[in-house]
This record gives sequence, structure tokens and C-alpha cells, in this order.
Amino acid sequence: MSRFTSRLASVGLLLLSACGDLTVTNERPAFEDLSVPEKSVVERVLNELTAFNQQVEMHTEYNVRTILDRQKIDVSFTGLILVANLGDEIVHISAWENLSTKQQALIQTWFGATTVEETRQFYEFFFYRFFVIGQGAKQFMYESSSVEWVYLNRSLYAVERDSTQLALTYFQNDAAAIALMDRGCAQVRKRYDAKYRAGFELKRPEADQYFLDNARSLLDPKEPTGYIYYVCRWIERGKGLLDSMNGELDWLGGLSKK
Amino acid sequence: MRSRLLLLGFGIAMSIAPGAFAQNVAPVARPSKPYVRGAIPTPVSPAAPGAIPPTARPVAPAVPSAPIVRPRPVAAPAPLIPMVPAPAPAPVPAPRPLIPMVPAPAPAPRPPVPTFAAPAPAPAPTPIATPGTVARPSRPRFPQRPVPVQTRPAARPRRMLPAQTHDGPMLAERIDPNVVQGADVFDEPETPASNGPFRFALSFGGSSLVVDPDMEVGIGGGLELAAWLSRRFGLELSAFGSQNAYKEGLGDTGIAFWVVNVTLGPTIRLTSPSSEWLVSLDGVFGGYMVISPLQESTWTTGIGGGITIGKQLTRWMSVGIRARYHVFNISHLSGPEIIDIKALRPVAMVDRLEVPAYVAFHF
Repeated sequence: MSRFTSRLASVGLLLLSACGDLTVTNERPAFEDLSVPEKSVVERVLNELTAFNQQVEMHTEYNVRTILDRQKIDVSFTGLILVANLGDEIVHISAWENLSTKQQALIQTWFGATTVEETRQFYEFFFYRFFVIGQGAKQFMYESSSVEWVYLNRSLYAVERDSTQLALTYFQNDAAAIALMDRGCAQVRKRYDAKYRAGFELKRPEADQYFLDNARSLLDPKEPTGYIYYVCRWIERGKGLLDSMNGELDWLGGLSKK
Repeated sequence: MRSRLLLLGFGIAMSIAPGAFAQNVAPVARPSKPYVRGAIPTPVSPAAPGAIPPTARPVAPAVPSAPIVRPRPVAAPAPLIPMVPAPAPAPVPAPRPLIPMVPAPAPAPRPPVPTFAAPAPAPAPTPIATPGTVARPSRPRFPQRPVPVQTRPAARPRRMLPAQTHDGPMLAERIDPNVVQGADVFDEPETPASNGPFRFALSFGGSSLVVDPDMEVGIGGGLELAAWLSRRFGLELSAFGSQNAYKEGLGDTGIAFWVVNVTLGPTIRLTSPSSEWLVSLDGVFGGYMVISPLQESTWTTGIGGGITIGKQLTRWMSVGIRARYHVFNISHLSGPEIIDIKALRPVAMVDRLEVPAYVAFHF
């Protein structure tokens, strides 16, 4: 009987191990194991974050060096349109090469691009530059106010809006970047106003609650069309609120000290 | 308000556990005047050396001439303890214990017992036959199980002998005289088993994603409804939700991994149904909902199994602890594919061990 039990247990363990590692967390591949396009994306992201960190160190007592590491930039996942910095010192950015054809076509639709090359141009600016600065801005919030404080005291809406505003401030003197943003966002607003305008134009705090309640659909990594609409509207609204990098970082870094 | 709540609670308790409140009610159907206060003879002198102290088993005087009748519901209506002694009664011996430890010296010859076959003429151990008791031809090596008595209600607390109580005569009046006195008194468990085939339980305790190094031990809670289909086999419908926080970097975010499962499965009782202890093996199969911070919720299938150990506190309530191991995300039912929040990769099968304590109500 005991022999039977031990054999049964062994077979069961073998079956379980064959089906997976039974975990809900996986390990990311190291930078050395990435493909050439992925390594290229990591380098571009790292350069952008390094430039942003210089601004942060110049104007504040903080820095975002914790994410200035090739191993901390995750671009290896596939099939998701995602930019994220959850507070674990990892920046997730989707690489263009890892998107499905359907997702690339969706991005082309967002910006009204006529060719794949034009779509890629939009994508590389927004995802490899603008959103990267946004993730750096979030890291600045975590460094200056702590991850716990941000999660407890700031709404998801506020964090995303403020990181977009800081990224806009960062690029405000780059005429080519501003022109590209205006062109792409005009198409986004034209296509998706009917669907997302009512939710976006709610007054706070209703807007915060609406964004949180609908976060899973707005930020759906398979099709984050709603999030792109919100970013474009925040850019449009933020142009009237532009400040210097010093003023913006000072305001954002002092939130938890008030 | 408080009194209304008390009344409501009392009403609910009465509706779900009538036996719990009926246990001190005397039987309604009772033979006419079966017992007269003070009629129980109080032994004035110890019986034979080695006998059980007479205060343990008060018995009525023996009537040798009366036939010994095994008490049954259809027995003759003659009073078991006659108010008037039978004509020409034999000399009444001193009260003796029902089951003498040592045969009494000088046993009196007694008529054979018609109830039992093979009446051995051997005179040795003297069973004392009294009305309302079953005489035994010989002392068995081990105590025999008592004769089941039909007149006894299903739910009855442990009965004490008059001599063991502070108000013995009052309790003695509640004793059904049709019951075989003294034969089964000490066989009753102190805490009886549950008296219903259904069990509703609330559970709360720890849960762990056993092999995942990035997950903290979490907590969970749930409820279950079980029905015993036979003495040993039952079905259990349960719902249990658990949350496990992430460790290290993601631990600061407060993001947790949530799973809610709704399962149905067999349960096999290993202990006797009459035992106050419950040990059962359980198996479950059902739907497991994974709540992700990034995506819509996803329903998957899963299986599990474990053991339940419980103790009956009253006829309608028990407490215990349960250990159950689950493997889920075996197949996909609805919602998006589960994405790992750490590396943004699809998640394969996931395991979980839950060890909650529970309180159960039986009806």
C-alpha cells in the first residue's frame, strides 16, 4: 500500500511539473538573452531615461537611477501593447516587433497612418520616448513620495495624468515631437471622441472614479485604445498648463510633503 | 431592537435545531404512573463483597414469580413496577447491583430465562431479573451493546442516574420506564453526533501559493454546503476566496493575487457517523476565478483535494480545520488569458494550499 501511495505521489508530481511551474510569477529573460531588436529598444529606452534623470538630478534632490539598468527594462513580452511602471523598479515597454499584425493595424488606425512605416514612426515616438519619460516621471513620484504613499494617496487617474504632464513638459521645446503628437492625437480624438469623450470630461473626483472603474477596459493591454484617447486629451489640456521642468518636478516631488 | 434580534435569533435557532431545544422535554407518552416518588428502594446495607455500590443502580425489588418479559413497545400493559406487590411474593432480598462484578455468594435458584436460548442449568452467576430489565445468563467478557429502544427519542442528552444528580427524583421521573434501565446508560457518548444530513460551514484561514517564491502567505474565507447521501459518502458545494500579496518590489504596491473558486466534490467520512469526531477526505472540481489588476477576471477550471478534521460540539454545531490543495488554470472557461504581472507572460497551472478553520451548523 505504501509503495502504491509513493508511486502515485511520484506520478502526480511528475504530471504537475510537466504542466508548468505552478506559479503566477515568471522570471524575465536577462538582457543578454534578448533578440537584437529587443536589445535595440532597451538601449533607446535607457538613453531616454538617462537624459530624463539628468533633468531630475539638476532640479531636485532625487534621481531615478534605480531603473537605469538594462536588466530593469522589460521589452521581451509579446502580444501586449503596454507601458507600465508598477513600483517594482521595472519599466515595461512593448517592442514593435513583439506586437501582432492585428495590434500593429490597430495602432495604424489610432493615428490615421497611411503606411506601416508611418505607423512605426508614431509608435516609436510615443512608446520609446514619450511614454518612457512618463514611466520615469512615475519613478520620480515613487522616489520622492514612496511607492506606498503613491498607491494610498493618489488615484490612478492622477498618476497617469501627472506623468503625462511631466512628459509633455519635458518635450515642450521639441517642435518636431510636438508636431507629431498634435498630428497623431488629432486623429485619435476624431475617431474616438464619441466613445470616450463623456467619461473623460467628467469633473473630478468623478473622473478619477470613472477611470478606476473602467481601468481594465481603458488599459486593456490587448487593445488600450481608451488609454491612448486619455493621453491625447491630457496632452491637449496640458498645453494650457505648461510649466518649466523645475516647476513641474518641484510640484510633483512636493505632493507628499504638503 | 435588541429584544427583537434575540427573538429572531431564537426563532431561527428553533427552526434549524429543534432537537437542541427539545432535549430536556419529558416524553409525552408515558405509562400510567410508572414511578412513585420514593418507591426507589434505597439500599440500607452494602451488597455482597465486591459488588458495585448499590447507589449506582437502584432497582426495584425482584419478583421471582413474575415472568421475565423483554421490554418491547408491544409488551403487556401490566405495570412494570406494580403498585401492589404480587400475591405471595417471595422474600425480597436486599437490593443488588444489576451487574455484579463477582457472583453473589449463595445464589438463589432462579427460573430459566425464556428470552435466551440454551438455558444452562448451571447455577453459577446469578443474574438478577427485575421488571424492566433484561437478565443475562452470564457475564460476558465485554459489555454488550444495549438493546435498541424504540420509545427513546432520537435526541436525548446524557441521562444521569438519580443518585448522581442533585435532584435525582426529578430526573428519575423523566426516565422512560420502558427503557432498559442501567444497561445502556454508560454507553452514550458525552457529545452526540450530528442529527442532520446537511452541514453549512463558514471557514477562514491561511492560504499559500506553495511553490511561488514571489508570493506571500495570504488569507481567505468561504462557505460550504455539504449533504451526506449515505453513512460515509456525501457531496460538498463550496466557495472559497483567497488573496496573496506579492513580495519584494511589488509588495509595496499593495497589489494582491485574488482567486475565488466555486467547487463541487465528493466527501468520504472516515470516522463513524455516530462519532463526535469527523475525519473526511474531500475532493473538489469546479471553476476558479482569477482577479488580475491588469485585466478582466478570468474563469478557469481546477481540481483539489484534502482532509477535514472536525469535532461535534452540540448536535447542531461543530468546529474543525480543513486542509485542501488546489491546482487551477487547467483549462480556460472565460475571460482573457491570465498574464503574469511580474514578467507579463502567460501563466500556466497554479497551485494553492488553504488551511482554514471552520464552524459548521448541522440540520
